[in-house]
Amino acid sequence: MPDLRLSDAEAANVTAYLMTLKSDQKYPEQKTSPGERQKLAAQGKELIAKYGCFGCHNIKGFENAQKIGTELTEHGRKGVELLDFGDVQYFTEDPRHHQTYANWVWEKLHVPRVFAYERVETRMPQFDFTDEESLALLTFLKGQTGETPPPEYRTGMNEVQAAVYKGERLVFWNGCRNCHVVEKRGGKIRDQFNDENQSFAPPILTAEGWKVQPHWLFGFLKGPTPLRPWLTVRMPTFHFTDADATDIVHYFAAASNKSFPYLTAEAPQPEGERLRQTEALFKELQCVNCHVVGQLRPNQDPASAAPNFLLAKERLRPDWIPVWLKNPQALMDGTRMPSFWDFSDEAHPVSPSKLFDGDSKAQIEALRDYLMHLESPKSVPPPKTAATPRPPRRPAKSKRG
Amino acid sequence: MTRSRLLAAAAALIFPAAAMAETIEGSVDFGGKAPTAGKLHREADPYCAKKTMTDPSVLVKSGKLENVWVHVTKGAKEIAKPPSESVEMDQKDCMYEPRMITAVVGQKIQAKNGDPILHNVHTYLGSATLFNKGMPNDKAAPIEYVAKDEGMMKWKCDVHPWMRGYIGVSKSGLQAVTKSDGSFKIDNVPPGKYTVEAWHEKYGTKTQEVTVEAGKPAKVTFKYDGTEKGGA
Repeated sequence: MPDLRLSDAEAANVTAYLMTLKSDQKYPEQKTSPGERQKLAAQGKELIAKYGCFGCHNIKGFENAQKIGTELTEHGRKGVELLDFGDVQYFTEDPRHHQTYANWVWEKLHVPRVFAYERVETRMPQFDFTDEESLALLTFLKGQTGETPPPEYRTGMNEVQAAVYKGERLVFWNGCRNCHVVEKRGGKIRDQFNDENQSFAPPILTAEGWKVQPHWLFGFLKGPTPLRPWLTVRMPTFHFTDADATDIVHYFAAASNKSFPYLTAEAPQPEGERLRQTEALFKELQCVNCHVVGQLRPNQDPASAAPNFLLAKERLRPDWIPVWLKNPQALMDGTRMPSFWDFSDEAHPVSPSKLFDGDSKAQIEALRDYLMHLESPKSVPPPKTAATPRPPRRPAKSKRG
Repeated sequence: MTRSRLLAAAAALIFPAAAMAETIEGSVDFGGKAPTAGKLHREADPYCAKKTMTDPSVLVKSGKLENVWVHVTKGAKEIAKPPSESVEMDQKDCMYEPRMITAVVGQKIQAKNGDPILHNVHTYLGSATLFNKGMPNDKAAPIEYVAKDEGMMKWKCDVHPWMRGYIGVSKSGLQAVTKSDGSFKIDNVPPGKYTVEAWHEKYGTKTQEVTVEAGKPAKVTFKYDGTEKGGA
């Protein structure tokens, strides 16, 4: 009843009018005797007890009465075998008609006494629930399992899982997976490339957190500098906030179960005889036939060019390099990087070179150390960094919400 | 094993299939104008740059197409015993040699590097990598690989993107590669009905149904006109 702000006089007038609407109908005279009335009152009390009216209404004398309805706290746990379908059978081929928990609840809500039969009386009133209301109730009831979800469905269990969860949201909202395969998913754009130009596709970022150093990735996300300037596809600048960039770096590290943000770069600088042998090995394997040191060699076909070695010390995790060298295919299926060593028998690896007495592990470690200290040779100009992509016209909005 | 099966097995030993086997032979024709082979851009590597070469992917002579893999895809009942000798794929003058050859499932395939420079041998079956190994120079030990699955095994060198090689791998061994006159001959084919497929690296596949009868070779001619697309 809304407030109509009536004056006393107006209210009196409305009352006077309403009084004229009185019906002349006479109610039937109570013909019952006092004894009968007492009997009827007792019957009424029984009915109240039976139908549980006190569940909603306060009724004197029923203050301590037990509710009549089924306990619903853990109703969602009930198996079909615990539900009484009465005479209602849904044995048709249509799965919608099978005896299921959802079908039972749905029917119950629509026709509350549908499952009654001679021995079982049901008392639930008709609430005329709409389909939408019934679905909401069904959903709620199904959730009444009285249990916490199993650990694999819970987030934020520990720091690593929380970092992955947070990062996944950023990866999603920034559309990283449109171009990149991120942790084995996405990279639809790769369909646009064929066998011949696959090397020009955006890089696969599975286990990227194991491959690259956190501080390098942070810097790259803040201001992408081309690793392979000969590519036409380029990483856009997203204008990530420091916090978002940190979360993304943390995400990659966490997804690979690697330390964040600090790590010790264990790669002693090769010196003396070790340096001499490493340089010889580097030459023997002709790494720079594909890998760029600074910039493309004259006549070098960009289709066969591989990432710039001078970035290695800033960019790569030293513990990743040996695993990569041992079997590049195992880390990145289909990569153009060949394996030079055969580690199929881990105890007796086969090396293509006689240097370091043919010791595969010593060779690989030497190459890692060499790469982690590789400086720009004086004859080779430093890599061009002028090709930084233009920033987008307006800063990308953070869509986190 | 039943008695009759035993007898059949014994008979197979006494009268080997080859005794009553025929051949499927014929040629692959190329209608239309053969494309002019372009020069390969091998300047990137000073060693490869010493020799100029043209693109050998389409070789047509007098209307006949070379390097077509012709093989039985359906109808073969026997699995060939892998020959003891290896199939060899060499890398010479920055090219695969031969360009196309065949192998049987279970047969050894050996890759050699005849060049004093780095090649990597990156092989594929479809788009899946089979192996990718570096061979720094001609002293590198040969790579040995046993053919596991049927299909066209593609060979690529990522250092020298123009390099291409092909090994057709089959279970039945009923296969051949067309020679420079476009001819091919598949031996030891028992009489029966077969589906035969031709595969070319640029022009893809063509198939034909062939019935082989005892006592005479089955003749098949495939025709390409240069408008087809497919292959590698």
